[in-house]
Amino acid sequence: MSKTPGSRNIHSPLTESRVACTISPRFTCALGGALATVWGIVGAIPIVHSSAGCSRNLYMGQCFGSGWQTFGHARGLMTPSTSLVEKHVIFGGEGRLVQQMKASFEITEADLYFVLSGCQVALIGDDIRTIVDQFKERKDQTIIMVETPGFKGNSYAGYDMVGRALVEQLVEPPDENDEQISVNLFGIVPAQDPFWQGNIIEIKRLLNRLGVSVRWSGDYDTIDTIKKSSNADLNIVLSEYVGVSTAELFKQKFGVPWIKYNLPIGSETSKFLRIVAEALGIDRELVDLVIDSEEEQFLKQLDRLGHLYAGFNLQRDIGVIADSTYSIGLIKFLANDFGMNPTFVAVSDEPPAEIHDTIRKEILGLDYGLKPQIIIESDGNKIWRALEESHPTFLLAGSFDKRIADRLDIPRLSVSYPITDRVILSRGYAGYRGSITLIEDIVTVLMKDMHLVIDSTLARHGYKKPAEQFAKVI
Amino acid sequence: MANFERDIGIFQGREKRLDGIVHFGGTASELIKCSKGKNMPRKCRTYSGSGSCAFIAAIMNTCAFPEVKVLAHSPVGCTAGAILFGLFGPIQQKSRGVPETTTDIITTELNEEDVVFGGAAKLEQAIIETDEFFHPRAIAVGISCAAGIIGDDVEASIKKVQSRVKANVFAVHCEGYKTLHVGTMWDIMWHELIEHVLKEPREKKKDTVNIISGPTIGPIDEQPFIELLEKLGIKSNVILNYNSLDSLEYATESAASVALCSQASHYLAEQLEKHWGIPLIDTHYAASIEYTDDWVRKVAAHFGKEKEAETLIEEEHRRILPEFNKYKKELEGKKVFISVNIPRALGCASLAMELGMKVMGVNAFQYDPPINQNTLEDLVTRGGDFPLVISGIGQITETQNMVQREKPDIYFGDFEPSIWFAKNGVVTLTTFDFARPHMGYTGALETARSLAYVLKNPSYHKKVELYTKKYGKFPYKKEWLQYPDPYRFLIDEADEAVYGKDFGVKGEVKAHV
Repeated sequence: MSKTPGSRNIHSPLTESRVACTISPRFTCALGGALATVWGIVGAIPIVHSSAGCSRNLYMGQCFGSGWQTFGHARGLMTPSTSLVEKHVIFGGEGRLVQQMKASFEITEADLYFVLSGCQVALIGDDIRTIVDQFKERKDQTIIMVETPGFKGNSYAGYDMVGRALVEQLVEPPDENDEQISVNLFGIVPAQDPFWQGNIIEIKRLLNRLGVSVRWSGDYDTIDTIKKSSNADLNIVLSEYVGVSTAELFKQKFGVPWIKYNLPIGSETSKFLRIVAEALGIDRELVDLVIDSEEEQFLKQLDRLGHLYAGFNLQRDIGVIADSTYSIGLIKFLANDFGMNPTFVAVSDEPPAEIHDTIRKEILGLDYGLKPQIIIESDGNKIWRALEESHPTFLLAGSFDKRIADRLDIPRLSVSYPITDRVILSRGYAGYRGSITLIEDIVTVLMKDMHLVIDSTLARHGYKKPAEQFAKVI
Repeated sequence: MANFERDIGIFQGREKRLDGIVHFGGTASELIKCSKGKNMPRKCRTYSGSGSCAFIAAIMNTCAFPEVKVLAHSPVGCTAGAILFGLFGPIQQKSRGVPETTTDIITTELNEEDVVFGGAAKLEQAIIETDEFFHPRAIAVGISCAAGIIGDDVEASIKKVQSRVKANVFAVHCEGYKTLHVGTMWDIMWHELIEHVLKEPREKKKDTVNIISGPTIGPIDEQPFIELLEKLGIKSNVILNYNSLDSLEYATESAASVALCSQASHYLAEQLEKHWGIPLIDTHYAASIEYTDDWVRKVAAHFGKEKEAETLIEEEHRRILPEFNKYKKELEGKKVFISVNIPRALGCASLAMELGMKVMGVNAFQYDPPINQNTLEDLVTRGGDFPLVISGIGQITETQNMVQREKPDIYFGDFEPSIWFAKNGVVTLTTFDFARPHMGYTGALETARSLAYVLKNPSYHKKVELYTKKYGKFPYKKEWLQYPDPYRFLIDEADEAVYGKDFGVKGEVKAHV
């Protein structure tokens, strides 16, 4: 059986029992990631061949869980779905798909259609490919077909399934006359990264300053942008593994080289820009100039926080529960730029086993010899147990982790999927500007919940909460 | 449960058990005719949007009882939407001053190997882990499409491990493809809760009525009803959501049951009547003044408090009517389109009629003759016929077409379709939100106030419309929005196979032939 990134061996006759259920999973399924990716493309409509609930359920999960941002040309209830019922599961759903596709083309307005399939059809064995090929032959519509059964992997896997399908089925060969220096960005999964849009905008802004234009970025690309993306000089993967298979296929098909640099936050951005600039052969003087002016602005903001930070000692033992991209990005920034003491990291996206060492190496390569405890785990139960032992004094995690933060009396900021206690629209944490936004968010929570430090510190030393002492008196 | 027998009918869905339908397009009076003649139209759709499935409906309903943990025997995505339900709980709990609980998502995360080799062993272990971690009163194992198709024998797995766990474990047969009639899921959930939670009465409480609430009816709506009945000397046992199951445990002791939402509570009320002789007081959805009067009168009559009820109703009218009539003046003649689950849709239509608004159409999700026929008839008698579409999963294909020829002034309905109406230049108000009562006298007044205000200040809606018109585009083609027959995709169920084969769809859209 082929190994899909994002799918892990749990209990099966073939493998040793590890864990049987996941409590509070921090992603949805392959179809969820695929849908979010498609909704992030301008004028694209996914036709979902599955039960009625899949697309709307995943819309609620993926988008509402991403700080209540809702996006997509035909999102939620509007997404065409074959809405299979029992008879289709028994007798096959191919006829229903044909009907639905025909009707969708007639009444919906789209630049690009995707046909995505759910678990049910993979298990009943509908021959979707033949049907889609027949429609493709008519050349009325641009149709991309992706098989995305939920059991095949998680949201991150779904993102790459769509990415590879686009490279295979839509991207056109490069135009010889294109002189522009340009790149494509991969690895940021819309909605699975709640700050996806803000992050991409900041990375784009910085690359533009180097004279590099960004083509296929993941942020509201048009079909034309994706078609012409093979003109890029370089593909940048902003994650340790998400987007890698898309970039690799891109390289095989169109010869565009790719580099991998995990989502940069804070001064990490300077290193990122230098590596990209070197790969593209950009004039060193320009790079120095851009970095210098960006760093000045970045440092200026840190300086403006000075009175509060230096005056009240905002250094905390930080715990992070996030996917590999954010774990690495956040920890590096917090430790290397912001003086925090990262003590605990739970990498929650089920990265493929072969990159576990890379992730550990990245997180353990911090300045000042800081070595946080790392677990690679998606099950809430296991994460919370480990976190309880480590007992940080500030938690960067998702909304599910309110449970543990409340129990430990520690302040918490939601930064990773799912986030339902904040609204996130244009906010981003990447780059120089994003890191300042992150500081604003962290310090706001720190100041608001300063009293929790009293409780948790006293508890650590075996004392009661002052509230328990004084409540009776007053 | 001694005298509670397994009613196998519920697993076949309301389509069979109650002659319910999820596909219909026409007018209210047409549907009443079918309903009275016991000749319900059996249709299906050749185009469908997205909506609810049996699985997510079951999860949503069960999440409303924090003491029951839902263990989804599914791939990881099936539970995604529970995030939304996780929002409902804390709001209601904070308001009631009871401990806050989290809606926990627990999934066996079926992967590729599991669907090949079966997920039974994993499920058994998962039940034990769930019991150890949460110590719940009961564990509901939700069976997903994938688990259903690969044929895991969930009942057998439960039997195997039941003795090893403290919680009561039961299976919820809610494969997503099982039915588009999500009311079925209420029935299945109630069925399991009745079997595992309800106890025989210790005493009979002659002055107590069960008020069966629902997850999207919060304390803001329950409180006024409790206090109204209190004034009549009737005690309420509110079967609450996002609360302890205690209120359900001894529901068998009350003298009668009354529902706030008849759709959700039907099976529970029916079984209480059938097995414990507790009569159901049949009421409309009390979202308008008239329906609230009716609700209060019927409950009062059951306890012999008719006279007191009239005084109370008079008092309440005196309290709210002056302000209500002020909004009525502003709203009179405005055109409203309603789209939400059927009891609420009809209750809201009643309110709109009271406000002198013109009901341009109603999109309700299901229709079950024994539950909804009375209200529908009452509405047609009072306000005349109106276009009615039964959209099953809540899809909006027809409604978007229906509002094109004559734009409503306001969309009044479920939260999800709102954005598409706003993009179309229609101001929207959600029927239910946590910050505004929508039932009873207070609800009628507050809703009237909100309707009037949103019409006065539609600035946000206008911006969304501007964005769509100027920079975006609408997902439906003009050809569809202006197509003369909104029910074009509704065909007789018997014809489905034929249409499927030859690519055909009823009617043709010119631009695309």
